[in-house]
Amino acid sequence: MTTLVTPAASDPGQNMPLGMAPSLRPGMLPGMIPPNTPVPARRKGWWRRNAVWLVLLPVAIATAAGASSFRVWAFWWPVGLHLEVDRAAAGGTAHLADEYLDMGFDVPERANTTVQREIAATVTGVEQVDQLPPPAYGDPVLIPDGSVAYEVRMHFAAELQTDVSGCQIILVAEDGTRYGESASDVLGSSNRCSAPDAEGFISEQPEWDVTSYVLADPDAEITQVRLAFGGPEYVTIGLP
Amino acid sequence: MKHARNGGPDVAFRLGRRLIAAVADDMSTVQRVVAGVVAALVGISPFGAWNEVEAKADPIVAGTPVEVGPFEVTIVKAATADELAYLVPAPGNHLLAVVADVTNTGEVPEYTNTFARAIPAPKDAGIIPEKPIEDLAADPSAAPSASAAPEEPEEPEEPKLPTATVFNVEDGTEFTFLNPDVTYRVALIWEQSGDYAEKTVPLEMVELEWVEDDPQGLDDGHWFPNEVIFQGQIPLNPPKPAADAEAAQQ
Amino acid sequence: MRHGRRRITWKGTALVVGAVAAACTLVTYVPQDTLIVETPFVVEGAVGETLDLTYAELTVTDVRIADTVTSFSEAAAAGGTFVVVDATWRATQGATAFSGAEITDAEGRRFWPTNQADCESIVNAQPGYSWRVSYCFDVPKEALAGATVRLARGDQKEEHAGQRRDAVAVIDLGISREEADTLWEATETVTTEPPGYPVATTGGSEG
Repeated sequence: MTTLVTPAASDPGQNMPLGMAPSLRPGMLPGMIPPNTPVPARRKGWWRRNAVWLVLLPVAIATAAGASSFRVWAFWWPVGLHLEVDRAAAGGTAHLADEYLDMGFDVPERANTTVQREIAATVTGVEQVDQLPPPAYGDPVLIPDGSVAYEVRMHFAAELQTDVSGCQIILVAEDGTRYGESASDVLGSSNRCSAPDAEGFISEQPEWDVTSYVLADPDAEITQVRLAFGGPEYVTIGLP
Repeated sequence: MKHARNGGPDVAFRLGRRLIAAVADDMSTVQRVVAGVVAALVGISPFGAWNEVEAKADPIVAGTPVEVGPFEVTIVKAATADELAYLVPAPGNHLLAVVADVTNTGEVPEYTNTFARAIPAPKDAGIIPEKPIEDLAADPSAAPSASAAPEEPEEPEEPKLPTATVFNVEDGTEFTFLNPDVTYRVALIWEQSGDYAEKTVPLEMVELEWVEDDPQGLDDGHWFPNEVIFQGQIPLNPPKPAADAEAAQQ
Repeated sequence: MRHGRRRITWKGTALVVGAVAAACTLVTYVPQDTLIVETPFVVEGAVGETLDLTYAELTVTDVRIADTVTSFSEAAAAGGTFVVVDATWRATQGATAFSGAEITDAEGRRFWPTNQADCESIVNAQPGYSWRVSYCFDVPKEALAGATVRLARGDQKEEHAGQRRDAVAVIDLGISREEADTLWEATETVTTEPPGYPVATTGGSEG
């Protein structure tokens, strides 16, 4: 290499003025040739020197990835169903608990508060039907070509004044396809989980039954029912 | 010399260091700072730091096309109307419509709103300012307030004039994008005070600058309305039967 | 340990200047628009073909050219001419919003759909049924010959950023040069329907 550095093994860090002899070590007179200084032992290999940092490297990478994952939270997690809160077998009851920000439209006392919503759900029947009942508004809906319709009956139990807006009753097939994920059902009702005679989204009874209709592919094998209020929390109830 | 080979760059470095040392060693801190500032000012001069900011604006001539960003715009005329489609002005006001032919000369669709921001509301022409958001929350009507004066007495700063509502003159519809190479005749509509009685409307067009990399990284690749590059007076016609029919066609 | 400062040499200077120049060239000239790992998966097809996009099955059923598009409440006149593309979406995974709809002409110019009349730009559908929708693109005359329509779940803003690593369908509209002139001259009016099931039901469309 081209750098010119006088190896000053015997005088570390001392700046020597130009043109002068190395400073005298004890026991030497000017003019004497200094004895061979022992070559320092070869330093420990790169791997040994950096062992500790190498071990910490995966930890650092994981921390960095975690710290950068705010986009995962902001863009993916809240959209869709990602957290199964409870699971029940056929005939059983699943308990869904999630949080939402209540705007106070229906219950003014709850305006701008985060409310814990808890609801116990049981599936009382899922069967294919040949005809859809007339909707609350508009003309009768025919089952379109290439689709079949399922009638899903569920029984809910919750505290009075539980907000059930935005509810999704989803039929999940064996291949994972999710039917009925939208908050409004095939009849155009966006109030799928309210009691039939209820006026709004707030529960007025401690227990009630609902019926919802879902279009599905003709050859789909429905194995589960999922209930959610927009996610990411949901519950699964198996079908026999 | 202790250090043997004198390579070119090293000599240059050492000479430079000696030169500066020779000058700077005798200076006090204050003098060094001043010398540094002077050197910096001299250093940026070749890059045009001292050029005057030019606020030159070419004239707008009705009927002559001009290029504004990705758009080719030809101002046709200005007209007033009492009502256009769903826009109903407050009592005492009317609607000012600037009719223009616009073509997107780029390869990608552009938002109609980008075009609307290139032609801001005429200043000092009695355009009713935007209603502040707080007022909108209290009062559900979306129309600006019926105040005839362009300046609110309570607000010391100049109120913001709204961006125009853009209609397709041929069918009275609104659209969100302007596709490339398609020419539309559009009307830019603002609510104007009924007191405005001039024969012309002052119109400005603002240059649209393409910002490829936004400094904050949030908005890469957008058109940014910058400085005024065209201005002129557009004759304001009283509503003729033909203009009314074509502008208010449903 | 070191003694004195490191000396500046021709070799060292050349290394530094060369490295900076190489880095600048790399950054300026290597295309950064679409990295290989981000390109969409393009499924090509023709009108009438059903394409499998993994998240949906798509069929473009009809292509019509019109000067005016009307619906129950609105009539829209084209600045150029309207290309009305009728398509049927069938989602296969869950509730999906199909946001990508774009016509590309032979020169590479892009045209986006309008929302006038009952023309759609974003379509919502779920598995279990087919959903029919009409897209209307206002295009100039030169765009007709050789135009293709690009439909997908992700949207096409910012150089198709929403379609990265996702499947997109590119369908040739089958308009030849000769046809383009005839179609441009004709003054047709197309009436669009709001989105609904393919077999017309008596009015009950999805809310």
